[in-house]
Amino acid sequence: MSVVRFPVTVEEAAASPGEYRAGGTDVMDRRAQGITPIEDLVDLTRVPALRAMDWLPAPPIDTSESPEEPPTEEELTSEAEAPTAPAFDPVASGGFTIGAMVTMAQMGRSEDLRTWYPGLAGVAGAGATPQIRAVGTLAGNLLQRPRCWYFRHPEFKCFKKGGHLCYSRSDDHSLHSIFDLGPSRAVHPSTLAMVLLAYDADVEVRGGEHRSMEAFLGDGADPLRENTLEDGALVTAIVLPPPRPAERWGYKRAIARRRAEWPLVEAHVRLELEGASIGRVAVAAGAVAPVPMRLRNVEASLRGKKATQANLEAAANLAATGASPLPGNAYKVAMLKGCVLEALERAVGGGS
Amino acid sequence: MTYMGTSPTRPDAAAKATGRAEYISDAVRPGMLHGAIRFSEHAHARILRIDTSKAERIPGVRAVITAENTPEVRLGFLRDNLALKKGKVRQFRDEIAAVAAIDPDIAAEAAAAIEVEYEPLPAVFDPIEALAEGAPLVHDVDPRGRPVTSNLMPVHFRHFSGDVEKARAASAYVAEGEWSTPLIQQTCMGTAGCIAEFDPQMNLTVWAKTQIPFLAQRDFNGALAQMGLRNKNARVIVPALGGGFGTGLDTHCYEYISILLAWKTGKPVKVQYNRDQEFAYLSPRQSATVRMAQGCDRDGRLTFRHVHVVQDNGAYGSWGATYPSVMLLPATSLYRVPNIYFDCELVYTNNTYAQAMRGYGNPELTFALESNLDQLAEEAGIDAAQLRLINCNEPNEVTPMGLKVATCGLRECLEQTAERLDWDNKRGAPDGTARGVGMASLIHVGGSGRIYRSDASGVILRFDDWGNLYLSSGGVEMGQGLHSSLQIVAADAIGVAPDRVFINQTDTSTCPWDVGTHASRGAFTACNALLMGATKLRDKVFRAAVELYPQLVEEALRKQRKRDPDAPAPSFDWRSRIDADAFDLREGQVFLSNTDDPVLRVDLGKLIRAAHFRDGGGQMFTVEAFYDPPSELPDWEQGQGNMSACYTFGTQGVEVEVDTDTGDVRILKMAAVLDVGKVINPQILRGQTIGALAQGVGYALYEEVKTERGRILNPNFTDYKIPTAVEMDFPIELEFVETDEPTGPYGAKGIGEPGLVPTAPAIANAIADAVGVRIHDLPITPEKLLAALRAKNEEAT
Repeated sequence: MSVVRFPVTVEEAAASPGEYRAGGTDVMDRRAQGITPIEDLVDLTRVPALRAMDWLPAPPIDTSESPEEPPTEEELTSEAEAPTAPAFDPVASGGFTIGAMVTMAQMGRSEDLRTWYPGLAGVAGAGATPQIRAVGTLAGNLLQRPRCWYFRHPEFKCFKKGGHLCYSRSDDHSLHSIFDLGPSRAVHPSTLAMVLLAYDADVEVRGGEHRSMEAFLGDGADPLRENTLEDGALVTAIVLPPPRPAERWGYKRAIARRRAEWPLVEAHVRLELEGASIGRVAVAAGAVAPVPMRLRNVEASLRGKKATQANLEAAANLAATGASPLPGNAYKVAMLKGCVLEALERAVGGGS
Repeated sequence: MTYMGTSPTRPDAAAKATGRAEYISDAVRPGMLHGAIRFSEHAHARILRIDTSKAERIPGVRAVITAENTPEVRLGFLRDNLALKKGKVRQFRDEIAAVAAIDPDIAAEAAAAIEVEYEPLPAVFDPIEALAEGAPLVHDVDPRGRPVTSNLMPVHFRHFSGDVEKARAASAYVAEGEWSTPLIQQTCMGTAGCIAEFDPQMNLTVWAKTQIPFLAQRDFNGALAQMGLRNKNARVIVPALGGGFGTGLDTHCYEYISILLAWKTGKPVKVQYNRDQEFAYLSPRQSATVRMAQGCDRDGRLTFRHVHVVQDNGAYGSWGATYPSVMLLPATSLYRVPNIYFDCELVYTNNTYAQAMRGYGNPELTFALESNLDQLAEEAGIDAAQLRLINCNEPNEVTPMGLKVATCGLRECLEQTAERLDWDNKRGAPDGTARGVGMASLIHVGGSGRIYRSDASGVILRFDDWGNLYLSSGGVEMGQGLHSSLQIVAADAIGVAPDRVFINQTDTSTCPWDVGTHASRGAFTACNALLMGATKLRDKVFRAAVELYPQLVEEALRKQRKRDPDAPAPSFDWRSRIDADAFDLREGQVFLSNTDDPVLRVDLGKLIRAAHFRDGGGQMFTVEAFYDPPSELPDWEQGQGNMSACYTFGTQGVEVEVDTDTGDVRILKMAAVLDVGKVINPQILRGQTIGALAQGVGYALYEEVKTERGRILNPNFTDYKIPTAVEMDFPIELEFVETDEPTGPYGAKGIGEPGLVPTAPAIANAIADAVGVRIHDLPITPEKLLAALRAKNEEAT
């Protein structure tokens, strides 16, 4: 007999034995299909503290600022370069926190996010289906397990289930990774993780520890998990660095079905223009590796360059550097370059 | 006619919209137990030992059955399948044992507690490999125990006409290639299930999700005989169906298992699949590979067509193994071709065994045929629409297969599609975009399809004392709107309001025989039977009216005079006109034709009651009719015979845009023009056609049951992708050509399946027009498109 517990505080939740359940869209499937052994559940939907969404008092938890490039006063207040962005509100300069149990729909509707973090709100509000967005939560999205059909099939005991094989390497790997970061070729399923990686967000873990997205996701080498979260640890919130009023963004996903589907390849771009040149830029890609990746070489090649089509194409062509695709997924190399280019074009063009 | 061509509220609408319709998943019987099945964990293995002792000890378990403790029950038209497998398993979903318990969870737990020991055997998953010398044999012996030497199924469909080799040599242009189509799921919203229950006399009732209640009765009676219950009967009751799409054309192992469990326990037993089980344990549509070549002369007239089909049937034969019977239609008769070769190989493998699905072989064959035709047009330098028009079928022709085509609107379908797509401006336009247009046509049976001795449908019509019409048909309403068609045709043909027509739940104990609701035949055959019955019933009413109408009118006149002494008398001598042929019946009123005097109109119920309670012997108003279409059971070895009373034609056109960076295909517009004979209910016809287009879009772009050495990798709606509303969010222009088919009820042809037949090739042809690459295997995924585009670019540089 399995038990579902309904704690109302974070401490109670942490003290309850069992697997955490947020929206339940993934954990309940895995439980019903016997993919991973899950008995007792700790349901988090009644913990109000995990649902908060608010501005943080200054100073922000500052992991987002690239040390070489502190934002200038001019950047923060420039309206000419980002005519659509409202004037920057200094009250909000401490960053923004989103509770772990905030749903994708709430993020998509949030005026704060839509105004100041449009790239995040846009993706959260358009992913999956309206039904999934209504119950699927931020942390649940980050912590969902991969869609690999071998992992999801109860009869294949692969690396991810403590086995000694990644079936996709020799069999059907058409949806699998092209960057060989570890024993498993399953790709990370979370689009929000990729977007938050581009946002230099932090993950707040119960007890107050802040871990950068990059540290949270890890290097993709451990097949048993898709992040560095310790067993039993509870994500309480995501913390975004202060907004960048001059920022533009672009997102592109290649997808087999137009909606309600995990992408084949996706890319997210945030950038700021300084005159005709590219200033700050962050480029992340998903569905190409066991974890979402920051494409640092693409970013480096863009920084300081004019935002011309030739420069964008040259940068996008670097996107798959280091990739080692398998015979059945080589198409993702071209697709990754295509998605990065399209995301760059959309960002330069004004953001979508 | 008052109701033909209108859309009155369909009779099942309110119950379905309010959740009151009872599907099999809702059905409960007193004292019912729940069954669960233990399936194979190997694609091919010998069963060494089955230990059910742990399962039997679980509290709440009422029976555990295996092939060892139950009679052998064989099924399938080739008799190659056993309800519970004996000796060896041939696919992952083979049924090894089953449990009946007091609730579904206990049943599932007990099924999992059964221990099975296997000796794995070499397996074969590719039909070509399965045909090779020395390939593992899926079946070592035939159903009679005789040794088998090949995986080729003993089923033959062929057609040879003219001299294909000579014609090929004489052709000015030839195009050939190979096309393949995947296993796909029917994805009925209502999942499969049944309840089996024996009465104290050991007669059986099965509530079954079936499209063939009467053939199912025959199958279940056969099972009763195999169980030693001779001279007992199976009654089949069909609950509301959440879609059939071919899944109800066969009887299934789970049905026989619930019969065996009910027999063993003496209780009703329900077996109900959930969505995951439906994906894993129900048969999908066959996968097929079609090798096709066609040629034409300098003027674009088709000279020959050469077709070879290899079909993977999986481990057992279902009716779906007879797909080539329908493939013969397009292969021999879509467009005019004088010289034809058609041959097929149906192969056993250790894959999941397949079954029928909407279109029944036609979408597979048409994908190859219409793709190949575009290639031929390119070879010949003739516009693809023009090539089709040059070879267009025409009314009153007999095709090489012997199909007698009376009405044919194909030319209008082609022309209308081209116009709606702005074909002349958009086809081949070097506009710098990755946009393109494509089209494809179809021929399908429109007047039922004779694949069985009887292709008939019966109807029983009965008036009650109040003039309500009770209509019993053996046809199955599975969401397609059969009952609405029956209501509309009954209202017009008999003369009662549609909401006074009550249609029986399909039940073999109360409804007359019908071969099954498939081959787009439901409305065609049932409404034709209804029209025959309507004439009889009206005649019966009018003969009674000759005797009873005068007294009823006199009585009405008396009452009228009492109310209003000055009321004018009828303006003519109505008594002198009394004759059975002089009456009419409309909207539940009997009257002399050509009069509208209300006092001369007699309520039908009143007339019937007068007949019922008449001194010296009353009567009832019940008639039956039986319609068997004017068609022939073809000679399959020769591929000859007029298998349908008439034929449905149509053309679909698509405009697409391809993202050459990501391989994403966006449909900008679709046009579907169908020769439907006559529209019965426009709303339902639109719904049927748009639903079929959505299935066609899924077949073309998204859907595939992925397998890995016989295991299904994507048995759920998360990983098996059907189109959603978002993917279908583009303009669809529908046009129905009315050719008024003489054999059709009020001129209508069957239209259930055809909508999806040409969708995939129309899309493939549009993609080829957009970006110059042709994908030969469905679904056309971004990865296949990108790979093809890259190959094309490499070739160019």
